[in-house]
Amino acid sequence: MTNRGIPYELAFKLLLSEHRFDLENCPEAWLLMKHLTSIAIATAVGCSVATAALGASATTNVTVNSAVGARASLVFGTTTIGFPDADPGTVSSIPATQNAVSVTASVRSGSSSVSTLQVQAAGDLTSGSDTIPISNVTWTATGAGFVPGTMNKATAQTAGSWTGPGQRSGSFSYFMANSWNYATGNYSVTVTYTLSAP
Amino acid sequence: MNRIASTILAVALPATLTLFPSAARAGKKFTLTVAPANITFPDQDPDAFPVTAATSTVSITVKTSGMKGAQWSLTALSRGELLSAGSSIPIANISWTATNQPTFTNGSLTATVPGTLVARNSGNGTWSGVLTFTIQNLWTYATGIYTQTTDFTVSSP
Repeated sequence: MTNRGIPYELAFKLLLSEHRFDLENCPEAWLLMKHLTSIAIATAVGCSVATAALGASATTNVTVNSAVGARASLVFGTTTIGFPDADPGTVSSIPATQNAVSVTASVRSGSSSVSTLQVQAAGDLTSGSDTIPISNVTWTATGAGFVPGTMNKATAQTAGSWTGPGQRSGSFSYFMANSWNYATGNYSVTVTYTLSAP
Repeated sequence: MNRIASTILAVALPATLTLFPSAARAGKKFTLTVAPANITFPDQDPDAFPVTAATSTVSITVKTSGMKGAQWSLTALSRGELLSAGSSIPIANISWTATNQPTFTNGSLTATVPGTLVARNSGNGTWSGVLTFTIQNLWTYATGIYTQTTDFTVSSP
């Protein structure tokens, strides 16, 4: 085929008009128009797209992967607390010397998983053959998710609960009920805190 | 009018096939190499490792031609946050340090256009840099295997 009867320059102008190319702001189009064989490039891609077609950009992608596994961390400000001797007639509840004890419970879990902090005493407070019921020890709590309670040697007690992963900080303050019934001595017991998430 | 249009088409199509290669040779050209194609952050204790390094560095090479002194830039644009099922980690928590500065620069990933500048220079040549990626290792991340795609694009205005 030929374009007999239609000047190339006219043909190009018609194409430009039909595709709404802006010749005033597209000097490349005018340049191309001077060369009949370049008509198709100008009409097919235009100025803005031509840059890409001429290879003026290159893109490659990288896949980013990150593994997040389940784990937990429990940190107390101190691992020993003590109740000083006090007159039962004037002090009914003895605060621990270390109050308030800071605690940080950190958990990585599923977004809807519930993690719990539980505490259980190994037994009653003992001094030789003498004992003080561990249930006489209570605690109060500060910080979102931390809860107050009473020590128990038979059943683990909840000291905190949270949904999803995160790092939660709070404090516990411990108190022991005072009584004339306690035999003299230095009493001790171990309590164990367990932070867990399913 | 229809006759005119068909005639124009007949002229235009052969021209496209014969002349496009010569035009491409005359323009700006880039070769971008990024290796490896995967960045992996292992699971680590956030208390012991507040920042986790990727298991490997990323080597980038930009080769330009036909620039005639023009400036080029390399940007990184992520397609979203790190995702794992219904959980996400902000992609901005990932950052890098670069060798061969000032052509290559330090930065953080983003999903916001136009992305983060990775490197910039001008003219023809070959530039290489090594990026060391790290991610903030937080307790707030839900468990999972997270993934996302990041596009590295070199271009010239």
